[in-house]
Amino acid sequence: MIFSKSLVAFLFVEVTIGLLFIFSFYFAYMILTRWNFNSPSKLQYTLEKRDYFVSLILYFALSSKVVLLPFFINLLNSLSEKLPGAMCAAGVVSANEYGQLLLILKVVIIFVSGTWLILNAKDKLEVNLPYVKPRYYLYLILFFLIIFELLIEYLYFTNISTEEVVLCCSALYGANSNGLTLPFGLDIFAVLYLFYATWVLLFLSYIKKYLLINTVANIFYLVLSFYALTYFFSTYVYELPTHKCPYCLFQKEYHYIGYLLWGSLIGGSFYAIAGFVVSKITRFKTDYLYRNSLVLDTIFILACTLYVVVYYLKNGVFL
Amino acid sequence: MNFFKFASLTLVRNLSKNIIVFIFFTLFIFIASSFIFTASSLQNSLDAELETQPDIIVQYKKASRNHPIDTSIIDEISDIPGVEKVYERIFGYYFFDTANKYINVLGIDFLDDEQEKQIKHLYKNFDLKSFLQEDNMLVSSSVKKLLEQYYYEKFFNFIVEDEEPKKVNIYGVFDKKINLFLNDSVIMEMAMAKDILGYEENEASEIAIIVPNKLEIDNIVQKLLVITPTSKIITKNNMYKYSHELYDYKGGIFLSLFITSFLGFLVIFYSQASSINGAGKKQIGILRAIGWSINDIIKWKMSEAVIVSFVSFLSGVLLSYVYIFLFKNNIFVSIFLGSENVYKDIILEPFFDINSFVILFFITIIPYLASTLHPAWKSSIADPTEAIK
Amino acid sequence: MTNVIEVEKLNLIFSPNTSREFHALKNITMSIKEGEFCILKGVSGSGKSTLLSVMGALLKPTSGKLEVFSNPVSKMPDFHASTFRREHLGFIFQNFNLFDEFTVLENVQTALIPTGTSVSHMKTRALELLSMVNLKDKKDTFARNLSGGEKQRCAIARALINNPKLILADEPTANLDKKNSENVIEILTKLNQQGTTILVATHDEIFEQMVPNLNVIHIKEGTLL
Repeated sequence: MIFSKSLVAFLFVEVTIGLLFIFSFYFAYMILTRWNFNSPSKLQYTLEKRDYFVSLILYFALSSKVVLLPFFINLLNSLSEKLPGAMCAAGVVSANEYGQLLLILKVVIIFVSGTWLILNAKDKLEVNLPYVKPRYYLYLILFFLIIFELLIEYLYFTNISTEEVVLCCSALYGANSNGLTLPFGLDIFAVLYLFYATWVLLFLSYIKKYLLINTVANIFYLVLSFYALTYFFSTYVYELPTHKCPYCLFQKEYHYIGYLLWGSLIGGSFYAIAGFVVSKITRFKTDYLYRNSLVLDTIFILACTLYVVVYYLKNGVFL
Repeated sequence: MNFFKFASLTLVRNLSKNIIVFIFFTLFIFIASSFIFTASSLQNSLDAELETQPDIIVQYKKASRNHPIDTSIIDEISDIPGVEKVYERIFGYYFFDTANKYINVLGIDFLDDEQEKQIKHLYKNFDLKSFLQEDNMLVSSSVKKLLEQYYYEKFFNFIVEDEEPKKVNIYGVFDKKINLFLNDSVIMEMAMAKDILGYEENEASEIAIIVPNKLEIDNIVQKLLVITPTSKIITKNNMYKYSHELYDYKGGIFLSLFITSFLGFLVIFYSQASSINGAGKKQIGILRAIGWSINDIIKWKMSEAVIVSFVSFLSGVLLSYVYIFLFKNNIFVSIFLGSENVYKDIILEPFFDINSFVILFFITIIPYLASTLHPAWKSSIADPTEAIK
Repeated sequence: MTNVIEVEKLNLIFSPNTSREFHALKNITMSIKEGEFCILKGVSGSGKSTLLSVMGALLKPTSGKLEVFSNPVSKMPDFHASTFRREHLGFIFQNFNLFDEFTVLENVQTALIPTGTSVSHMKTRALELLSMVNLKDKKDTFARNLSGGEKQRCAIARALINNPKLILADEPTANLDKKNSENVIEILTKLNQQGTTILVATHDEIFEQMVPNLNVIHIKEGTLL
């Protein structure tokens, strides 16, 4: 078990959000089972009012989770001080088998709750609240994700040993790493080529309004970006050809650039996926969501490329 | 006007109703923030102090207690490649029987450059020659005060085993700023300190090693283990880690206690906020009749909560900053530094640790806002025909 | 002329199927045409305020049809009902219902807050209406310091701020003396002449004396006579 002030605060807020969800679950369950918009019964009016409470809680939960994610990353970075061998969050995340899962869960929860809130806003624009059912099925998924996340958080933090030596990022991602490597036997130039090509595809599919293609391309873009950033662009941030790590980017030495890079990337994927889901369920146009997605994806690719260009201009060579 | 303006107006114009929550919230923030300021300032000073410490320390322990270490290994350690300098350090508590207090006696080799450097910043216009001519010592202002209480104005008699009492003159009082870690200390020539603390001539409290190349430290530690397998070896990194852990641990305990009591406040607040009286219901009825939706009422109520919590947060932090750093001997220092050995004469160095305030933000504002969600919603769905009745 | 309000077989039952069951509105069918000045007349407890609340989408009927400006008001979810109220209706109440701790100007502006109107526009519009009801020089007076007549004029200004096409008033003269009552009715008549439809629930005779072409609807124990 590992212990720190930040951890106490973090877990406290997580539990608070979890309790709010449990609190709202009864309302959500009633809405899911008893909803009948055309009924003039008192129950129906009560349910319509309760819908506001559930959406208020979700709004609060999403905002807290969005603020909490960078705090969580910072917490992982600060815990690396206590773990032998760890230099940054990479070692802390890989301290046991739950770390990676927890990070993915956090992003998924933000995606789902964000989508829920967009759906909710669209629902309120309709005169007969037609998307209540899909919204509350999505709520159910979210509810179980939140409970599952709390469980994983408990397992993750209670299973970090302060004695066992963990791996540092150079062992996890560096030249002689035996863990993660590039997928499908691709080399880094193939990944880069695909990365830029996918962005072109994103751009074209946005212009042509091929929304499905855009969403699928966005998922590809997310995956490719992870590899391109970790194995190529991060070395230009660190200005060291052997330093390959997705987490050190969040540290002060690199001007916290990780928050911008990862934030824009995750935001870009979120808007594309939410745009797709919302356009499938509702009758509303979601072009503005795809536009946000493209803007964020473009910020990401520009920032990455800029690091390489600036390095070249300063030093006259590539790494 | 927007929701925030409207909310601030409803808060200010009903000040008597809202002032209680505001005062309690501010008080909570004040206590927590004072604790944070004290802890992080102490931590920061400690870090700065550790910076001046040697890179490796070798101690001899028996049954986990510090025992005098034989100084004959100093030459052997000096021969390890990468070691720049090795020297002995003398310190220990002298029990001042009459006062029932402990005085920390530090022995310094004033002829050694390294050690003299550390002393120089303690005392302005320090004249080494006149200091060493007689049995002299430098004392902290707290020790000075303590000795004066027992009429030792110019000198002090140390009782030494099997010998006559040793009379040492008080040469001067050292600078107040560094009192934090030398609050209960006196500084004197090394041989005299050994005499008073009962050390043999070839014994020391610990051996300090200076290593210019930090990457060499691990290697040197390995070699030290060969030379003195039974010794305890502490590197500067160990010291940092230990001090951080200690403060983090204390801080964690405090936070847990704080959260518990804050929850109590929230429960009271919650029950007060969720009972809406007739006037409140009417107010909401009017707003609903003139076109506010359920969501608009929620926005207004949440804006009120945001204003109350942010204003309380800022005023609590500000008040505690003033109290902790501008007032001497605040109670939080005593809580942190533990038992009253000698009178404390401490002014904390101002230090602002952003991370701690982010933590404070998370454990106060988020739960406060969370506790207002249900009351806000409950009032928003109050019967809108209330205005017409 | 089109119908502003259309009511068909409207029923409202409070706490149905319990011992406290109360049939507040019984089978009401009526319509009000655009530009009409109409009063709902009945003793207190006859259901006139309840009917007004239902028309203002503050209260949902148990059964029956209700359309205001062709909007199915009774079945609208809150977001739409509120927008509808804000954009089409102005409410005036018996006991004025101002916020005592707010100034006249602030009171008038409150109705505009949810629209997100710019601050400057909000103020211009509020001052415009205050000069219309002759309260401009009292704009910074707290509502609690106004006389009854001034309070009601301030409330009228608040009700008018969104340019409503229909004004619903609940006993607007009950707490006013004769002179102030006449003053309020003059303002309402002027608005009616400009095309605003007006529906007043009242038992005050003064309306019949002052308003020409008045349409009087009688209500008793939840039924129209």
